[in-house]
Amino acid sequence: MNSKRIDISVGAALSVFSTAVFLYANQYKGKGVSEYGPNVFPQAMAILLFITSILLMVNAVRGNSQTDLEGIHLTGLIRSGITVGISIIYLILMQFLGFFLSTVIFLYVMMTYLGQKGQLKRIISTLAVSVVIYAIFNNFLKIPMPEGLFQRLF
Amino acid sequence: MESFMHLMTAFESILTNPISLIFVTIGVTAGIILGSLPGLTATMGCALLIPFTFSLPPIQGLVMLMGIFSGGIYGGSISGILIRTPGTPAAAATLLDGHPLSQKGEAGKAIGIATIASFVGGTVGALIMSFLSPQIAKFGLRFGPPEFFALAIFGLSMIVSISGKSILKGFISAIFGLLIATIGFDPLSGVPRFHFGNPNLLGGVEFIPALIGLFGFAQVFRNVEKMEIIPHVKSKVGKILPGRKETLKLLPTMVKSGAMGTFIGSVPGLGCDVAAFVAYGEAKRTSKTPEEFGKGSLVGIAAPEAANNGGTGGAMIPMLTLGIPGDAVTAVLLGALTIHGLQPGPLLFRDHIDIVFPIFAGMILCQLALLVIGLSGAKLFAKLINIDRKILTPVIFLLCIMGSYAMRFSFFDVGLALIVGIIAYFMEYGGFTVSPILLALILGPMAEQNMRRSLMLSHGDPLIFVTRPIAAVFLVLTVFITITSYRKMKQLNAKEKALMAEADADESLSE
Amino acid sequence: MKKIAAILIVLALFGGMISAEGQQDKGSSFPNKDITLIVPWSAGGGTDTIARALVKNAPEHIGVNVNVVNKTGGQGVVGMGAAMAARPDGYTVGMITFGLSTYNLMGLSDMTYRDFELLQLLNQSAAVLYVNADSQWDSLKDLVEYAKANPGQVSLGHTGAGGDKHLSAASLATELGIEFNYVPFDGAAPARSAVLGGHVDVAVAGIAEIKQLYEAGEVKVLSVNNVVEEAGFPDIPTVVEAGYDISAPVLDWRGLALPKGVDPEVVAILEEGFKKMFDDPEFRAFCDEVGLNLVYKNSAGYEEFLSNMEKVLEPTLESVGLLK
Repeated sequence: MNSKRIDISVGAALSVFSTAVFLYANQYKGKGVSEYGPNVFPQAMAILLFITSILLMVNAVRGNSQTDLEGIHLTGLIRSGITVGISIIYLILMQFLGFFLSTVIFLYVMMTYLGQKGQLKRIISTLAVSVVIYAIFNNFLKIPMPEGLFQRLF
Repeated sequence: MESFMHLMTAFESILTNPISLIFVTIGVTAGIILGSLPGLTATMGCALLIPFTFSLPPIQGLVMLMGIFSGGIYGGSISGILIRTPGTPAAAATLLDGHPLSQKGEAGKAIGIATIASFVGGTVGALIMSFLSPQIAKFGLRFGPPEFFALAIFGLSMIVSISGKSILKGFISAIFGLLIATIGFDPLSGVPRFHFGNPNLLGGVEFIPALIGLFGFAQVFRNVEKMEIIPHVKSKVGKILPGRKETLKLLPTMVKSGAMGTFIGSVPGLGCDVAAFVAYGEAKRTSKTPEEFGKGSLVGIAAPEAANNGGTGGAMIPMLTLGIPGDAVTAVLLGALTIHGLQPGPLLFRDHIDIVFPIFAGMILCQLALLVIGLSGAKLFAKLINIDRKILTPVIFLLCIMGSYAMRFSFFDVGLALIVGIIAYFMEYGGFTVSPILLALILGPMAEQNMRRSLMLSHGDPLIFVTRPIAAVFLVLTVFITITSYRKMKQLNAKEKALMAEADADESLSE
Repeated sequence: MKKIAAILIVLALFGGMISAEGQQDKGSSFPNKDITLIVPWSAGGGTDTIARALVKNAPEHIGVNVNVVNKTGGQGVVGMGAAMAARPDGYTVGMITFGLSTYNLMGLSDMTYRDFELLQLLNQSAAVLYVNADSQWDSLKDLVEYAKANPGQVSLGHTGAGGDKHLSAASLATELGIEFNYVPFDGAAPARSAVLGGHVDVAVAGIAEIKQLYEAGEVKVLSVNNVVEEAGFPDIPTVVEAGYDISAPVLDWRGLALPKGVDPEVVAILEEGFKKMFDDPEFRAFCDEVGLNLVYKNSAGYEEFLSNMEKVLEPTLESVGLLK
């Protein structure tokens, strides 16, 4: 796939972004205790980003884009999107169900969604992984996990 | 010579007490496991095990902690090689070639090379540390703000080598990373920047969640996307040990990278991660076959891996001699020494020579343990990627979520890592590599703060960067390396187009 | 079907195991499970080391373990905020540090000590001014005279803008009528190496951070920025002893606090337990070793100290342009 279209749109977006950063960082001018204020570096970087993004666009228009990029698989993209969705639901669920229960559900759902065959295989690997991870994080590393509403039960 | 005698006595005292060897083994094993899990770092491992070391004699406790340090840095590369998710930032350079090699089905070999390189680099580091600590520490003190600024810029010049096919895009990634690095409280002015009122951003974008996002989550999304398209590569576990000839050919690179890593690691503020990137860039720049880099080059695995383990020895130097920790892990080790009633610093070398040399000897023993444990475990690790991808991917996903949470028990960080992961996933489609962002996140604060600090010291005179000899040398070196790397990359890209047709030529070269 | 049944049994068994563990929680008296101590700074740092040393023998003094949890970020705001918002059941105790006195004044966060149930103060540490052993100055007087003659020329390294070291030096400078060229470093260690390497003329630090170098003769300590001597260092003159008059110095402090709304009985148990840990000879010995100036104050004294500190800090922050 040719990256010309990507380069031009990314270049345009970044030049707008860098302008925004430059303007936003202006509020830090003359603030704080030192002469060389907190605005100097971000603004310098914003200028550099602006220049490089313009160069990117110029390059693309001149036809110097890369030509060997992979294309995006639409179905694959949707699958990744759903995966992100599942993980967000998992994180929300964790607040209510606690770490262990929600992790079991998450792993099982993910494996099923990705098409792992064999009910037993899925369940065994789900439980084994959950127990091991719970043991490492909770019991050995003593990392506080969300307990959830059923903390007395589970 | 005197140091040598001290070192021998120290070895004797450690080896006559076999229980120390057990602690070395425990430490290295724990380090490898923690290091290979994304988000769990050697720092965390040391902090957790410190209470266990209270009841041990100081040397045994320290040896165990150093084992975790060495093992952790090495362990990070295992997950980097196998699943393209570096367990520690220091492994981010190793995966550039380690993962492609593992995708060719040679995961065992990749881990084997990484193990040997870690051992060689780590040993070089430990030896340098044993014999030259006071001298290096003294030299290190000559580094003030202008020198640190020059060093940071020098480190950033490695962007050219890790940019992938488009250097311009590599620069854009890096500048983006440098901007991200300015988020949060600015210690120089006391002003919070770009935090939009969110206290979680007041400390800036946490480094570990960003690392997990850039590599871990992005890789999970790619796996999910391509689950049905790309056939599963069975890893040939058989060959772990590379041939003697191959190893000997790599040895000069390993020793050189190990030494480079040690010196970089010994500069407070630069750590094993920067050491690995610089060694990778240097190996690529001086290589006769740079086109192999990024596709599973053995040198590309050996150089950063030797450098990051050499960095462990280096990082110990300013901590032991001056009481100034080079990075987060050594800060924890400093705490451990203090708890045992030993205050690192100049007095330690004068009054506690009986402690100092066993520490050195222990560091060397850790490297040996690492070699033995790493090589015997390599088969097991390499088999891990033969687990069904439909089970492995959810598990990696879970580990990434837990890893970004575990840094400071924050769901905000998990969300941040997810967002970074999504950005990184799309960046790859546009031909933007993510490694420059990582390098920028590491070096950005160092570059910015020391630039401003230098200007404060010179009352605004920018000449301070060129009138100080060390700073000037590094800046000149930066220009030189940037130009030569840039030329090499240009040649490479031209060659690449010609080589495209005969892709299998690579196979015979990398054997 | 059979498989599913088998799995359900396994799940139930596992659930049973966990809830059996949970059963122990339901005892009658506090505390019956481990207590968590949230430290807002990273593992291995000064505050963390002190916290871990303090709770090392916790089971002897309060009957259960106290686990240190590092919740870092945002100059301590994140960790202290977590302690403030924790479930007020007494099982979460927070370490609070100097930053809490400045957040509100600097506009970093609205949080102040008033949002906590104060448990006890652990330490108060004054900052010291120190120079390289080769420095031309041997006493505070030398430094002040030179600084008066060359305003803005003396570079002073500190550990971060708005931190206790910076403010301590700034309040001293205001009181003595001198002007420094402040050079902020990111923490105590880089500032220390800048002094050793001669990159800054003078720096300000906690005595614990430079104890080793001082004893090894690598640095000279000019004065303690306080009205009283630092315990264990009678040789170092205070500012007053050096012949200058200051009223209220800026002091670094650390202490323990609970979220608001904890049962008073539970607070009393915790107060007693932590006081015992504080008095543990092993902890005392550790603090002597590292040079930490322990100062105990109960919740009332603690509150008074913090309220006075705020009054000192406001004009100091204003003088360096950090007051929001």
